[in-house]
Amino acid sequence: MKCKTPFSVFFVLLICSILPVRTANSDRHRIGIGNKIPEFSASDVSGKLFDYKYGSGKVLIAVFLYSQQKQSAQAVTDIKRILSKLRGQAHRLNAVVAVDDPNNQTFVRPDPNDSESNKSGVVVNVVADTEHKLWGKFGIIATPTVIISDTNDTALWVKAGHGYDFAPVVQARLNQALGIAQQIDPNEAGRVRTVKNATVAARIKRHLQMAKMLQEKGRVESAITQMKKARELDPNSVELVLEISELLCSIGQGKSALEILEGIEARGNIEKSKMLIITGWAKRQMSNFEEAEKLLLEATKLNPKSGRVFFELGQVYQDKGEVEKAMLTYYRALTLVFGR
Amino acid sequence: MFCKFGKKLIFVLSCVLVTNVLAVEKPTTPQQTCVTGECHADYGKKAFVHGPVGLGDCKSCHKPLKPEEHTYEFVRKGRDLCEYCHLEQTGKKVVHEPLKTGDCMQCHDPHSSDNKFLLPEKTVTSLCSNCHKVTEGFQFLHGPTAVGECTICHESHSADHKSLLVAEHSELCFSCHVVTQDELKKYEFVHEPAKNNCIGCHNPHGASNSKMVKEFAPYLCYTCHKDIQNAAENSMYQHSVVSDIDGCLKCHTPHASSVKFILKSEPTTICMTCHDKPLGITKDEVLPAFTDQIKDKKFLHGPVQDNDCSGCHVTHGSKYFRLLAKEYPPIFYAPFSEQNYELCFSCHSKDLVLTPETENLTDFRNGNMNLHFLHVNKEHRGRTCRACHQTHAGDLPKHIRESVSYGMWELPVGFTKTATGGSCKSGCHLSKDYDREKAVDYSAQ
Repeated sequence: MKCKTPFSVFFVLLICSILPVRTANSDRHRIGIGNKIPEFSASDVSGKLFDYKYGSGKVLIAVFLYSQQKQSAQAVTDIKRILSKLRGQAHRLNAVVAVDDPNNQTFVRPDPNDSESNKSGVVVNVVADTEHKLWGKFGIIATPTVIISDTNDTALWVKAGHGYDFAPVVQARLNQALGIAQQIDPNEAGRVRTVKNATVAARIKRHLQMAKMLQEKGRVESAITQMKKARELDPNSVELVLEISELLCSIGQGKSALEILEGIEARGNIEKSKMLIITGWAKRQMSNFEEAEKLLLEATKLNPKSGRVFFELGQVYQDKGEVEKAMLTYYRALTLVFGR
Repeated sequence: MFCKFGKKLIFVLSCVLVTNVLAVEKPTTPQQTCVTGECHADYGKKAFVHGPVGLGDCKSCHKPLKPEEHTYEFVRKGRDLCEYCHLEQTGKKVVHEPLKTGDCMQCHDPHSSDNKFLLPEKTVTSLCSNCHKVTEGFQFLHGPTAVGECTICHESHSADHKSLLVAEHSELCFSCHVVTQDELKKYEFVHEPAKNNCIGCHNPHGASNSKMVKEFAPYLCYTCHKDIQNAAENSMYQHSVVSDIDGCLKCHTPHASSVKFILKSEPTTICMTCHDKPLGITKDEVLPAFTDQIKDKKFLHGPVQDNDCSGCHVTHGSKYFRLLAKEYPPIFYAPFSEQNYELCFSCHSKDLVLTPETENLTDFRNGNMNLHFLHVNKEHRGRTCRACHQTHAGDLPKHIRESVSYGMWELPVGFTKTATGGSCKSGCHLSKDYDREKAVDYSAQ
């Protein structure tokens, strides 16, 4: 018994030492997100050796293509376009394209003078994977397959197939890997977004634009009608109220402008300043110069860089007969608009 | 009878006499001014008066023909009459027809009017509609048309752009549709007409539909997309929704999208609007709900995982069953040819089935013996992909089937996976194992 026990322990230890090695060699693991990219070496089509080793601090984009496949050709077109936009990033990126038979296709030109990739200076290493060694190493099952790693040699994203969302997703993931700021969350890059010009905001904008065009053509009554239609769509919009009241003032209907402005609460200095300008303008039209001056002076404090405020104030002084004051105020307005 | 006739005659004669008595005698010599209290008095009384009339300078336009008869003629002929002063009106490339022929008085009163610009009508639209019946029969009118403001888009006299537009088409549309313009800039995939030819699809005046398109999809779309029309109408297997009114818009957005084919949503989302329930294809055939096929399944086929039905299917019509993009055997056995598996080979390397021995192409191998080659690549009874794999999704790795229909029998597949291989206890053959590391010796079995 005493002799057998050490032997059995030894036997178990021997098995344990062998088993992990067998396991490591057994599975042809498909690269998944978060997995370490395998190190590899391959000669590109010009005979130059491409070596991928850990610790380079570079992003890897590896593209697996099939020479006789239409989707592979389409993927190449998209990738070329994406790479051409990466100006200034060439030194941070390793790009490898593995094709089963580079000589038997036309869509990947390994020419280092390729004008598309050279817009950004990204060098694309085209390697022949005739025996599917790289294919096996990466666990590829379909083409095209794009694998993007981060700077820590970890797979950030794996995409098989050339689907409807190929271009935006590859672009977003590459930007993510390179740390390039982008508006879209990479996880949302494949989500479909479309033009939504039927929103209320879009309709309001159309009415406002039409009102402006009508105003320019002197059809002020029609312009006001359009603005009122816009307001019906969004009765709470302060911006619309200000636009309508400004238009009313421009045709001498200051009193009507004041009626519309009643009860409106402007937010922010710019909006408040605009409201004061229009109210001051309306008061001036009603010959209430003191009140107009008071309002416009308040507006100058809220928005001291607005030439418009000083212009309106100048108008008040002019109407009051204070010519000198009016000229100084107009000069101030001109200075703000055109500089000294 | 004579009495009645006589009364009428007397009445008429009286009217003539009175008229002659009351009528102002026309001057028979040229006068200082034509507008007096008795003659042409109303010319100066309206709100807007033509300049020469206001100045009493009738000779700017009229000259005596026979003074003794008080007849006059225009000082210049045709368009020269007005162009002599208003030359700037015809200076541009495209000229309004009445101007070309010198017919300014079709739109303007030459003397005076109650309306601005000496227009005879109160509104722009009531004037233009005398000649241009652009809104007849339309239920929905474009904004400027609806409010009768034709001059928002059109110049009245001459313009540098076709149809007397104030600007180029797209520039003009985007002058109001600024939100659309901003949105189009954000998207990579923009429908070509949306870039600069809005009126390729839309009627700028109005239409019988709220989107103001000239015609409903698919007919509107077919004016450009003839290939799609051909596929939709002439394919052996047709997708009925494509030919429905507005069928195109079930999948596509007409302006711009963030993905190619200007889809309005992810393909599976679009497809599931119909294929979330069984659909009768023919009298005897029912297409099962796609959602049932993938529900709760652990392993999805790649395109299914990617929400991309177009990975295998074509939407508009196909010569292959189930609207497949390419050839794919619908049966259990098939003689092997590359053409038979064109669909699968559009993503999966055909070497998978052409290579008898491999270390890299597939995990389905016994040592280096490629078991895909063994099963599929046979002259007569090659097992098709469907013999082992579920097309869309399955509960087993590689979406291997649990069973496959073989005539009336549900033939079991009995697949189990191991770390280095697997086994099949199928109805096809006796239980067989395979191992990539230590190849199983089949000769012993």
